[in-house]
Amino acid sequence: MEATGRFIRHSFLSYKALFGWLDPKVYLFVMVLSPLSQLIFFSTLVNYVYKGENLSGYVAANALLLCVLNSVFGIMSVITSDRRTGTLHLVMCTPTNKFSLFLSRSIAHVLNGLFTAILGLLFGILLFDLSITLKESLILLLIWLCSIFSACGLGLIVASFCLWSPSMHLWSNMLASLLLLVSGANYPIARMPDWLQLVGQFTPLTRGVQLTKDILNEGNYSNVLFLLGEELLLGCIFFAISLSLLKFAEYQSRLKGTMELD
Amino acid sequence: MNHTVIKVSNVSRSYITELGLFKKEKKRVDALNDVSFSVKKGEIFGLLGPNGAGKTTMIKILSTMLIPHSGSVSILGLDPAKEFNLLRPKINFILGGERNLYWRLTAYDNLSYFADLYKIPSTCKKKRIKDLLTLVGLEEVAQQKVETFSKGMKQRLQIARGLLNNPEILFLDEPSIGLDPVSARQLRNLLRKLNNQGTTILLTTHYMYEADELCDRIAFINKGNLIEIDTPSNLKKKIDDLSIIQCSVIGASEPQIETIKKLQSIQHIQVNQQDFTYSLRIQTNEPQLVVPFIYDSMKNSIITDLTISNPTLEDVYVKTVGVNVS
Amino acid sequence: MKIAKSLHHTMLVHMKLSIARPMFKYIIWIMPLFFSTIAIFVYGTDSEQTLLHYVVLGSGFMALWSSIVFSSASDVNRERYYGTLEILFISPVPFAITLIGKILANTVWGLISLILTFIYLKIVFQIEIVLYHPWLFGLALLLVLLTLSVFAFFLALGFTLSRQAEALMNFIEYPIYLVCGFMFPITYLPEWVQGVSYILPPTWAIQLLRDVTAQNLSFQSVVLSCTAILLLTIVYVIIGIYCYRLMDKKARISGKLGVY
Repeated sequence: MEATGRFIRHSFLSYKALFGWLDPKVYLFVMVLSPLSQLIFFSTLVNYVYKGENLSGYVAANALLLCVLNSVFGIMSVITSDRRTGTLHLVMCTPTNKFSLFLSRSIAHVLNGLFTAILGLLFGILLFDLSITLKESLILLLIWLCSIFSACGLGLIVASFCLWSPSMHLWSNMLASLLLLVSGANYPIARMPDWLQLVGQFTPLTRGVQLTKDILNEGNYSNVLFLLGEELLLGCIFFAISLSLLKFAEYQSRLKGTMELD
Repeated sequence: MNHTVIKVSNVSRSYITELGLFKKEKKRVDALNDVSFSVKKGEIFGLLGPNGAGKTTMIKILSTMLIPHSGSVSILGLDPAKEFNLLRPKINFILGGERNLYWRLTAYDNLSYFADLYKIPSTCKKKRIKDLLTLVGLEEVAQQKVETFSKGMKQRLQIARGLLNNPEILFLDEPSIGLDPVSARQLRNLLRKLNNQGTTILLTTHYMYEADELCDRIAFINKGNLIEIDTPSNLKKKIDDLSIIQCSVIGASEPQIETIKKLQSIQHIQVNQQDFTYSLRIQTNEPQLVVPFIYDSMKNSIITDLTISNPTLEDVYVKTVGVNVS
Repeated sequence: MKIAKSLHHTMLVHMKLSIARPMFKYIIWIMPLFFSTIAIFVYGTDSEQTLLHYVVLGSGFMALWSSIVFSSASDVNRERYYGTLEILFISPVPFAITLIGKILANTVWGLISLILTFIYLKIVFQIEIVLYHPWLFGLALLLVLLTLSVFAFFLALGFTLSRQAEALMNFIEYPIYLVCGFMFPITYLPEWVQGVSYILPPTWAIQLLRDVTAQNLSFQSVVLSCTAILLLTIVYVIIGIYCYRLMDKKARISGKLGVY
């Protein structure tokens, strides 16, 4: 019971501590305008090329992809901002279980990711004059929550590398681009070569995008339970991998002395 | 008879940096070289040395942040490299500088945050935070954000953080760096109070007078090597036959200073120059010869502030290690 | 002669500085490849001309843009962060030369990235890249590089002067791809947006490249694009000189250049 209280308190306090530096202007640019401009660009592109066909699905899929900002970069900052404030080693040397620590920090970013995606969807609906029913939006919410959870799991894996390997910016940017590519948010999956589609099967958001397109473009709900289950399972596997990686990374950072290096 | 709580045996640790465009060249820096010492329960133990001597590396190893490459460490009977989960609740560490706090949180929130990380039960958490804030004199500003604090206040909050889990051993790395004299003195008083209550303290510093005032025993460390360990008074006794002559000379020339440097009676001389003034600090067994010599060889200069005094710990360091600590 | 030598030296130094940063390598080697792949999948099996104009040129241009303009502007920001901006400013080599050197350095890398993107698309996706008027393309490319460099100079100065503008820097990526029509024609955008597009050099630059690679070359089109580019370049040069004088004043009189 006490542990739960600490878990929740830490989630809230760490977000305040590490993200409290964002002044409203920067927050507006980073969390709102930048993802929205990504959405507008890709939505306009697909609108032009496909001549308006299946637009709802593509716009919504792009909205979902916006969560990458939080699930990759936000999660990574869970470790790197602590390094920036000079408190990483203080936190790492406390008795608390590191996995539950980073897990509690991830919650804020899952929620933030969902917020970003919803914002993108609302904006897309307004800008492109789309119509989405309440039933569709509620189901999408559930699907997106699972997808974003899964994406955060992968983000945490990348983030754990930050503990002992400097210059992770390159890898996180690559992951963000990879997710945009293999999720199929902007084209039918069949256009990708087989091996790339296979990669997409092992990355988060692919199934979320697929379901989004199925529901909004075709009204097809037949795959929801199955793909949702798979996405959730994938997310759990990612978090489990990140658990072992975090242990290994912590050991590496103590061996190499790289905890404070950027 | 106080038992040993920290035992460091033959610890070595180096850093390898990669150089060059393709990271082919590797440069190795030996931060610690075969260092051994032990600390008894209830002691205040000091590690003294210049920047880069290896003090911070040692503290990092002791506080479970770093794993030594060779040798062994035992703290309260536990190995910090492997049994850190059992050790971490019993120790804490305070690093100098301003960065080790969350500036956007209030003082209270900072302590609450770390109290959770140290799994302090909620039954005593509130009271302990309140008591600690009172102990370090920050109870009035508990709800203010740390970014508004002065350096001294931040350091005091750090101390409070370091005491959240009532540690048996407290490690401090250069705790008074950047502090004004008043804050530094407050810090020393606090440490003495803690020690009286039974906390073992290990601190690193390059301020000699601080080590002299606080520590029960001191170890000199330089370039990763432990040079000497003893109590401050024993260390000073080793050179109590030495006198220290200090003076300022205005208008002297380089050759004149060189002449003084070559004087046989002088064991060690430290020369600082600022504009036209040279400050000299001389260690010698024969002050009765050195003083007249200074006056004779500096006929056209003005000599001021001449003092003859007993050696301080800094002089011991300079004599033993052979370099200036600052 | 001395200036040419300084410039050459600065350029070499900055080429090394830029390529030493992993993020720069990402921007010029990897990002264009990702974008071009996404674009290929979106456009699918459209006509050769379309693919050339919007996928090949579009992603190649992204590489140029990111490298030349984006990096140069962020370079200034980085100098301020490291505290070296003021030092650069008062050094014997005029700041303008240093800045131009940086931009030239990034231009070389951008060009390399453009070529790599072309090669990638040709080899991996077997896109036919036929340059019907190679000499014209070469000349057009030079003009494009010139205008982008001038724009980069102007932006870099703007960021030096205004910290608010600097906050914008990270977020002009997608808006520029959108407004300047990197991957689709700007005629598709609403008219009021097109108004903004026409005062930005990259719009005309990519239009020119499309004009000179069209199978049926329209002389009128080429001339229009060239004229627009030259006019805009001159305007930005003038604004750039004005900004430079302003920056000089700000640095020496109000001493605020290095304030981060």
